[in-house]
Amino acid sequence: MRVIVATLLKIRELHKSFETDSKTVQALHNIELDVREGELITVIGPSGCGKSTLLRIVAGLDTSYRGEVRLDDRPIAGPGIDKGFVFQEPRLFPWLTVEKNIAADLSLRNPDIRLKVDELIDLVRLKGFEKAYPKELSGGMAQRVAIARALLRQPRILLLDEPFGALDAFTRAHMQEVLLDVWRRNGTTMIFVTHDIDEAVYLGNRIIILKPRPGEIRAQIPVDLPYPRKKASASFQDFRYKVLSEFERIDELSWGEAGAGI
Amino acid sequence: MSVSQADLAAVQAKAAGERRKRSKLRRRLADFLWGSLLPVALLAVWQWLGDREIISPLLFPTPLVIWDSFIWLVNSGTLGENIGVSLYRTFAGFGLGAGLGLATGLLVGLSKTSERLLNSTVQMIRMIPHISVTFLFVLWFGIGETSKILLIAKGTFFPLYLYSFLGIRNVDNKLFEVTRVLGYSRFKQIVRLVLPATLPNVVLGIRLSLAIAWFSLVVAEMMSSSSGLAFLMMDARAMSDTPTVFVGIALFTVLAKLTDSIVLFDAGCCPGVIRSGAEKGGNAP
Repeated sequence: MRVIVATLLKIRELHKSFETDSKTVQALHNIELDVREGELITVIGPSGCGKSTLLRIVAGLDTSYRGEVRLDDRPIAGPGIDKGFVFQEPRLFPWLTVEKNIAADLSLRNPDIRLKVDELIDLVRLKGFEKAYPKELSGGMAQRVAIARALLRQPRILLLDEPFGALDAFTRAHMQEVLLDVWRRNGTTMIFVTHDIDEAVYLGNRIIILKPRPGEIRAQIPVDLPYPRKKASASFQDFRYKVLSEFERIDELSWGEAGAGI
Repeated sequence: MSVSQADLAAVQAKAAGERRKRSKLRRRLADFLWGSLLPVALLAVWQWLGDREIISPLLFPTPLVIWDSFIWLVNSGTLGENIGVSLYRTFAGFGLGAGLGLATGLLVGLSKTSERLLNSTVQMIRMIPHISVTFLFVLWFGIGETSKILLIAKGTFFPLYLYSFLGIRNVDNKLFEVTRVLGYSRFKQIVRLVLPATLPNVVLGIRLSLAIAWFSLVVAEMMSSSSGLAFLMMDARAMSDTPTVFVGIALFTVLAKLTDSIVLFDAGCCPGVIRSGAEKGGNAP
């Protein structure tokens, strides 16, 4: 049993809006969220609900917001290696081999780094592809390289922005296994953004449901199912229905608002 | 039993590998033969027309006559000497112009201030027809090596300037974000992202620069010179020695093709260039 300790990430009264030429669009409204060390949080919501924006703010890639975002009780000043990020696409350096992509600016000649890179290659099941170039990899393999790259820096928190969105169903299931394996072994705190309900229920300790326009936390559903989870089991389906019914409420609400506007 | 089966499989795999390699070689040879079909046919027709005196031997000396003239030039030592002079001029001018072009292009690409300061001026100078200044260069720098080298340098400056500048500005923004989350310093961003990502463009710039270098050399040597391959051609033209003119044209073609191939080969050895194609799984939106 994992011992869950201190609060790692604390978000209070977070507001974010984008300025366009004609108007101001509110992307996030009053987000309040605590993430404890070792948790695997999944964030789910329809497109345009600001889930990527939320992740980018935590990563320090976006620093223009109102409110408080603290990691280890320190405000987030900018991007850095304490916050690992896995993008929607692998975003590998095309001129570097797999192992060099993982090491990036760290030298493989350093025996310590070498050892860690080899361990990670093993962990993300890429043995035998150390010297391959990104264009020789499948989409799933390339995304595993990106995950290993983020993990090498031993981040305090790993942020994943729909990392398996572009993969086919089989590869995606495999990648979910790999990620859970990494989480079990390393105990890395993760925030995983997705728009796939199954994925959210399958991976998360807790599911954060966002509603769009403006992005707001609609509900938080703790998932106390033991891993590995069985997607066909009744208890899994229960959680699925819980998430689904939250979405239906969101739909009704937005219909209601639209109706009122007419 | 199972061991011998495994061995058998290994042997078969090896044989298959060799078969693949051999068939690849055969395909390349076939490609080469197909590619040479047209030039060889043209030369044969040319030779035949010349032998039958259907075309003028003065205006179109036959391939065999040109070949004889080539051999004579080689044996007399004239050719080697003049090619040496031409090569020196080309590479001195190319080194100077391309080097400065690369340096300026990188500078302007990396710093917005220098872009605002320099780019419009460089772009304007670029529009001056390259050959139109030859005459002035001779007036300013004399008929010696300086004017020729500077003319070549002027021509080779711009492709490298443009392409290194463009290369830097086209570095994928998404990869920039990656370097930010990996905590790269500004210096590391330049050395580990911008420069490698710019390399394919720089190679393209070098190839274009080399082509301009050869072209400028011909102009410079024809304008005012007492040595060099193009001078040899001018000299021969004055004496109606058309075979030597043809030798010169052929040699320029070969030299230009050779230098281009060397650049491509070197670029092929460096994975940054050949692997620069779209990333698998993609950087697509």
